[in-house]
Amino acid sequence: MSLYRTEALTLYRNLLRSSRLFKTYNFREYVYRRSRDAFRENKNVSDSEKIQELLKEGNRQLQIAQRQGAINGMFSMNKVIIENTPQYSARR
Amino acid sequence: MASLLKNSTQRAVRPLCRFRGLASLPVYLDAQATNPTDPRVLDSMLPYLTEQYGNPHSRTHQYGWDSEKAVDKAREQIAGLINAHPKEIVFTSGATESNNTALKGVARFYKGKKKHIITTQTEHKCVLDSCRKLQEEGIDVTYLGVKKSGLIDLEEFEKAIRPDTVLASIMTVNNEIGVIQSIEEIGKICRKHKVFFHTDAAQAVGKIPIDVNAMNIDLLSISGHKIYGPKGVGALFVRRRPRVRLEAIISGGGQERGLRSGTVPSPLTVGLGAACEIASVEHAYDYEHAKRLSQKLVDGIQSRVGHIERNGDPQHTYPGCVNLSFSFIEGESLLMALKDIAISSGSACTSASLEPSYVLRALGSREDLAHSSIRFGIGRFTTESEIDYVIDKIEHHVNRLREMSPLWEMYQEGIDLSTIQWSQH
Repeated sequence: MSLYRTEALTLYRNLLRSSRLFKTYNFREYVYRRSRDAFRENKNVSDSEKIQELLKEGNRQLQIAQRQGAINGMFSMNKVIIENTPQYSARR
Repeated sequence: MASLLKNSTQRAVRPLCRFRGLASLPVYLDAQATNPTDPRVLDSMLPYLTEQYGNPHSRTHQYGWDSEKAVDKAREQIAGLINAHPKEIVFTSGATESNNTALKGVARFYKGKKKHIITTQTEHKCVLDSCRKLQEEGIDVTYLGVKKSGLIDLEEFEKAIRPDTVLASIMTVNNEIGVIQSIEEIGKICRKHKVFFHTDAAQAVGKIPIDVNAMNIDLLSISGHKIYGPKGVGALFVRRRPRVRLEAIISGGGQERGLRSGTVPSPLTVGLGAACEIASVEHAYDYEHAKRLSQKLVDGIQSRVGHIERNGDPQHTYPGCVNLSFSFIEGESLLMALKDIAISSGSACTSASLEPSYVLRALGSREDLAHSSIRFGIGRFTTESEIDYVIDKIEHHVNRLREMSPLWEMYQEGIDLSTIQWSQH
């Protein structure tokens, strides 16, 4: 269990971090929210086979996020208006 | 020369723009017009836009085989989302082409025996326009009206079926008001009377569950960019058993079972397939997200502005489409004021005209309310902060415009606006 715990926490941290690669506001927020909700939803999964499956899928998603985040960073040129308005840009 | 070379190779990747964030983009709330391509979709497409460029119809080399394999996988992914067989999926350029192919294809093929089509007044322009074209060719078309809720009357629909009715075309989710028709019941009625049933599901696929077998759908149109896929690609589901036969619009190499000639754009189909696969995993999560934000938006505007009316049935509606009418002000002036929010008064195709939407008029909305309507589209990438921003902006501008409105003044003085005789121009 604890073996998977370390791996899961590393994956979680890397996924949240990968969201920051996206310069486009809406993608950045989505990657963050989707990763957070997926980990919350599955936090009580105890079947080791299921955990391995979820970790595999999570790592696949991490690779996509890292690739696409890098591409997005090169082509995103403008901010959405609320990013410049601090009262709205805070994340919940 | 050497130093030049060194310099140019040292800087690994140069972004398109180095000074980011100078201009600000409006908050995007027009999910019914189009949606951004999901990064996961783009990730699946890029190999086919770079290395694997083969023509999927080339049978003599690996480039072709690889592309063909990718197209077949996409076909399976699309079929999987709507519970169809992969062979029943035909790739097109979008939902407009799918609708054209379905309506004109069926009507022209069966023209000798049957020549009546039933549709509704609230369909998308491409369905209505295809019907007009068919009328010129001698096909009879019945345009069913809708109830105040935006739903069709099923009894009236059944009565409209004639012995020579070949096809009924009724959209699943309306693009302007988000109303979901009772597809399952309509499918049953069509099957009972042996009428082919086509549905334009551009706004529905991937957002609400669709099963072409359980719902007795014979033809179904899908759009790529409405489900976070690329623009320029769509699909048409054509049932094999009982077989639906079509006359193709485009002649050529006979691709797509002869129904749609022309090289299948493998990168786009791969993107559409990926979008469908993501939708089949994510639709419940996306639906909850849209529902939550939609509730927040409607409640926020209702409590802080008041005198609004939601167009269309509030129950049988996809929550990601919110169509509101603001009393005492004009929709166009509100749209102009809300330049930092990307919204529209109706469908993108008709957004250039100042005419009130024909969909709202079909619902029997009062002319003034049809003129003051705005559609808010919430999607996968909409955030809660954006909704907060939109509610604040709406409150500010609606109050400001009402302060200037003579109608608002009259209302405050207690004059019933519906009793006023407006002069004719």
